[in-house]
Amino acid sequence: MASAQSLEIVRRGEEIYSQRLRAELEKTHWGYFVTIEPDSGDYYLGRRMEEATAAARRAHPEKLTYTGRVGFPTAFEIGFCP
Amino acid sequence: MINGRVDDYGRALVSVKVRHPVSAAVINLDAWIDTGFTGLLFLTQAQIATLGLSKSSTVQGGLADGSVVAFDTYPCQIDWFGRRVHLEAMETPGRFALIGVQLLEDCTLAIDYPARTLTITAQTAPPSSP
Repeated sequence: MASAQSLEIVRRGEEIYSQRLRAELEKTHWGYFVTIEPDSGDYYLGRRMEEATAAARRAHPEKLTYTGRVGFPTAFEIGFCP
Repeated sequence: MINGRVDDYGRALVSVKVRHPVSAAVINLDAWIDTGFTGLLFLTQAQIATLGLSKSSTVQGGLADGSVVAFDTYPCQIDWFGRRVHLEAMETPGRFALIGVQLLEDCTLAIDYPARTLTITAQTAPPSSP
């Protein structure tokens, strides 16, 4: 599973999303993927996940990011329990 | 059309080619069609290491038992209906690569269990690359 570093990226990304982005994006971009760079707070949207992550990589090539889906509790559903 | 097979465990498998997005690294692998997975592709830790993929992002996925788990993602390419599709593969701790329904969203999937064969037919062009 994800490392402690990744879990911290998730925590910070979720915090930025819930405090700064959720209210607006759920009105305007329901169902889009949103990739957040936690240090800057910059975010990138795409109808497909790779669109959002590619835009984030172009702007912040050395940074790890968090990706969620606007209006959904998780980016994906996974039908297994590892 | 992509042809696959059903193995002795009843797993629906297709052989696909996955590539590093920049280098020439490429692997051929059997991927398990998982209609319970709403994303595109899971790769195993060994496959990610073989390709030398770099971590890009982290997502959360909801599991069948209701729990939420974080997964790292890695940009890569998959050969899909004659095109190279850019995507973010998620890392699975499991033994099999998984193909999810997002990769199949413009396809018809037919599994013939008695004959142990499957076919994937594209209805439209595969997803465009960013």
